[in-house]
Amino acid sequence: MQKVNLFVTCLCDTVKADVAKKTVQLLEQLNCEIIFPEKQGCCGQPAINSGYIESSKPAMKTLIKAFEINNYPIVTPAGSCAASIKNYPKYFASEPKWAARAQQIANRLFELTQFIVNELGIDNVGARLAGRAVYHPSCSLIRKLGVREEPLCLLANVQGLEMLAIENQETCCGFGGTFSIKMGEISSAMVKEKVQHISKVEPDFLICADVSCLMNIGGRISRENKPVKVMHIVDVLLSR
Amino acid sequence: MLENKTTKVSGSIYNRDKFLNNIAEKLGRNRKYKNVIRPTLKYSCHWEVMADFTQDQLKDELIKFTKETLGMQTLCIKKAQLAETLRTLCAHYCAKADVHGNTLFSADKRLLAMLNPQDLVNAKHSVHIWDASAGYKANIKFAEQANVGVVFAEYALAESGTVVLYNSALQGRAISLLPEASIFIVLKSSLLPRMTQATRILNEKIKTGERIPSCINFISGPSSTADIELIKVVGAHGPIYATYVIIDDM
Amino acid sequence: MSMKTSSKNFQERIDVQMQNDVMLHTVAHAQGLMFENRQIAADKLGNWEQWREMGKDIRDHVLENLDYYLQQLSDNVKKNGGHVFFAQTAIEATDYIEKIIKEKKAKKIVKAKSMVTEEIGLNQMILRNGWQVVETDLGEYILQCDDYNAPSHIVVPALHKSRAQIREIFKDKAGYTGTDNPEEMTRFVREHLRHDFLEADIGITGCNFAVAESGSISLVTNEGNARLSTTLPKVHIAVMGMERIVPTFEELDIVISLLCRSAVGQALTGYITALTGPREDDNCDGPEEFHLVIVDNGRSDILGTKFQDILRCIRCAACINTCPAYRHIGGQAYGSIYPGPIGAVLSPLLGGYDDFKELPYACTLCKACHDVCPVKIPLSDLLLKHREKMADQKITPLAERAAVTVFNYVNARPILWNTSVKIGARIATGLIKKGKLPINIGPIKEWTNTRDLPNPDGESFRTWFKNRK
Ligand code: SF4
Repeated sequence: MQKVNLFVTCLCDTVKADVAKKTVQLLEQLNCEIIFPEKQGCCGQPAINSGYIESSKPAMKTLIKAFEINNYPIVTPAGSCAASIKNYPKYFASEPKWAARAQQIANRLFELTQFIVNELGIDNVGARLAGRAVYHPSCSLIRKLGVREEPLCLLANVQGLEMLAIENQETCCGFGGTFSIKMGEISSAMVKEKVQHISKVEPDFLICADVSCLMNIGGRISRENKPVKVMHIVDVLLSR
Repeated sequence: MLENKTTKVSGSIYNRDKFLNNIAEKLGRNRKYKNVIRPTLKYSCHWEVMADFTQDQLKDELIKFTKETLGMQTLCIKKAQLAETLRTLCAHYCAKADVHGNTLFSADKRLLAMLNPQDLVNAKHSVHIWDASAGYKANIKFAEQANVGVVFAEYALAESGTVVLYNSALQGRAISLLPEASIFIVLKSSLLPRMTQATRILNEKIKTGERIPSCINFISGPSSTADIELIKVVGAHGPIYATYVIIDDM
Repeated sequence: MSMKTSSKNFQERIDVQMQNDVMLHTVAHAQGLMFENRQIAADKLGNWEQWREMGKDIRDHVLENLDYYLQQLSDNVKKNGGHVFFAQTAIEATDYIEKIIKEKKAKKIVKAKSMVTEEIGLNQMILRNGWQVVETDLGEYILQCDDYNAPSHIVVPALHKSRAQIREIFKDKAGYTGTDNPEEMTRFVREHLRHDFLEADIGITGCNFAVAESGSISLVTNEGNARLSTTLPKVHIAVMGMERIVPTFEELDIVISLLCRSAVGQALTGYITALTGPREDDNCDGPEEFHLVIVDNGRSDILGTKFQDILRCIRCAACINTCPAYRHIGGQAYGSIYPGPIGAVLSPLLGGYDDFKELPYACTLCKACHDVCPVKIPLSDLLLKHREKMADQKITPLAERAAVTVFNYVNARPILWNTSVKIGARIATGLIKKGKLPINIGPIKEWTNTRDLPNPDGESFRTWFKNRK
């Protein structure tokens, strides 16, 4: 039995708890034992990406400490939060001790699909879902974490699921955290175009491994009343 | 002769020290006046392009690239066929000037050794040969009137369909620039894989202290633009048509 | 035109641009094409990552030894009979050029496209003096005819114009009577500008890269206008940003190979012209006089700072052609001659936060630009550094700073955070119904204008996890 820490992320903790719950269920099915270090908070992205790096450091340290209670891998169902934490060592350049501790955490941290495929060595979780789907590769996964093939490989092995390609597949959906509010118009234009490209191939499902993109794209799909079901990849991998 | 190439006007430099001292200061160190060694490049992938190609393979590659990518033609002929080939090409390019066609030739000795341009003269076609001693006005006037400019290229680069031109007193800049059509003559033995080899040759010249020609052009096809809706239009300010003629000298 | 291209504020510019359907359509189409061409060219070359790394190394080496290479360059230009002027500021540069024009009693000046001459406001100086200047690059010529409409792209300046619009511009300003066929319009401009080249007293160009060892400058073009500008007029003035230099022709090969592919997807552009000093005495065409103006204009202030990487830039626009934000607002929305990711980093550095403080936020940090930059500039990291600098200097809005302070306070304290999450989940569940909030005000409105909110899943995860055991 592999012991695993769950980094839930603030969005999954508050509004998208189902994603986190299902992550626990999926990992348990894959023979993992889940630990939830209670002192964990938010990775700090809203503040960090707005430039408030200095004042975010206490929270970063809290998060580091929260996961130092053991040495097991840390898994999270949100690529952007994983990427954010992996940047911590850079921010602590002037505090080498903390930089080293941050690096330890970063080394132990995995995005969910990355963990399943590369660490557990599983590429078929026995899922079944009939329909046509578009997968949105989030910027965080492909460009920040370098996780490109892992989710595709897991999805390819979902029985009954047909994957569809769309125009500008790897283009950002326009979320960008505080960008979606600060630059609301640009963000809106981007997500509109994304949904346009998705709708063109008339999928049954839109799948993504990042909650934030799902909220964004999903929010637009819902506004347009498109008959596309928005699913986190963990939803798909648990479908039977 | 190299010595004759130096110019009379002497150069000058203004405001240098203040400017460069500031740079050094911003970089947090003293001025560097010497002993900066440029690092050798980490990889050699630029040398690997077509590295083991024979001259014939380079020729084939050049012909293919110019045809498929640049939309122009490259011919490969024997030296003896040059006059005839040029006669045909000039007639073709001058055809639009239905009254009388003009061709301006470079006076490059290597070119003139292969043919006598006067052989191309006929009732509908005149020929001029670049003559620096006649001065700017006269030469530019010819270049302006000419339908075709014929020049001799030092090298051609297979990877990019490029001819390399050096200016000289015998081969002015305008010959390959003002006429609507350009014909570039290049020897098969001068074909190179890519810019890497051509710039290496320049580097070596420079190292010996030789001043390189004041104007070196790497020319890939006729002029073009895509400034309107990104639609490629062949023929902008420079020539509208171009042909490369490779002389099989091997 | 100086670097700043608009007197409107950022929000006004965005509003105008996002209404401009013609522009948005043209830009989206062009972006797709350029992105694809770049990719094909890079793939065809092979070993692209190695090339990029070499490009980065070359540019880094030059920046670290910039004083040395500029000294070598200027010595060699002088040796070749050219004149070098080091200009600390835009004004120093334009003053020097003004002096030359006066000395030569020049009436007409032809210009080949150059960003740095735009940056220093060269045309304003020329026009102020009542001299005639002709922009000869087709894109620049279109904009000049259109009363100096601002460029929207650093490689294709009139990218935002459709052919129909261009036809109208030529009709009104240049007496064009033909159709909106690009070829026909291009031919028209060819004929129209030929006599300008022949009459011009001075040709002004930029400089893509100078070669220190030989004292050469190189120009990367397709149209042939830069060749004409440096063949026919008696005087050639080249203006270069001080960092646009390589040690020798060997490095020039690498950076030019990267530039042509990244900018336009060509193995080499139609003309790569290396100019070394004025023409030789026995030649009869080419300039008798050559001046090189090396411009700092704020660049040295970037050296030695955490923004130094941006000076590696070779102005290929690959980042612009990839940027999804640029795609939806177009170049003019940036209010700078440098738009897109490169512009969002560079404009505030050269022009200050007063005019350009919003640009670093016009980015989702998606990193697409980072992946295509041929000299591996971490553009999104640099944008983040701008945000950090503005937060440190308290240029950011007070309300934002207050909110962040509260957030960071709570987030650093596990007990507080724990409680907040649980309450937050309950509030969200209570308030959001079918993706809608009862009231939409303030920042939330920016979201709900076009998107629904997520339907909350009920209790917080941590409550569930605890109860489960
Ligand atoms: S930042 Fe990089 S991609 Fe953008 S223009 Fe400069 S070199 Fe090109």
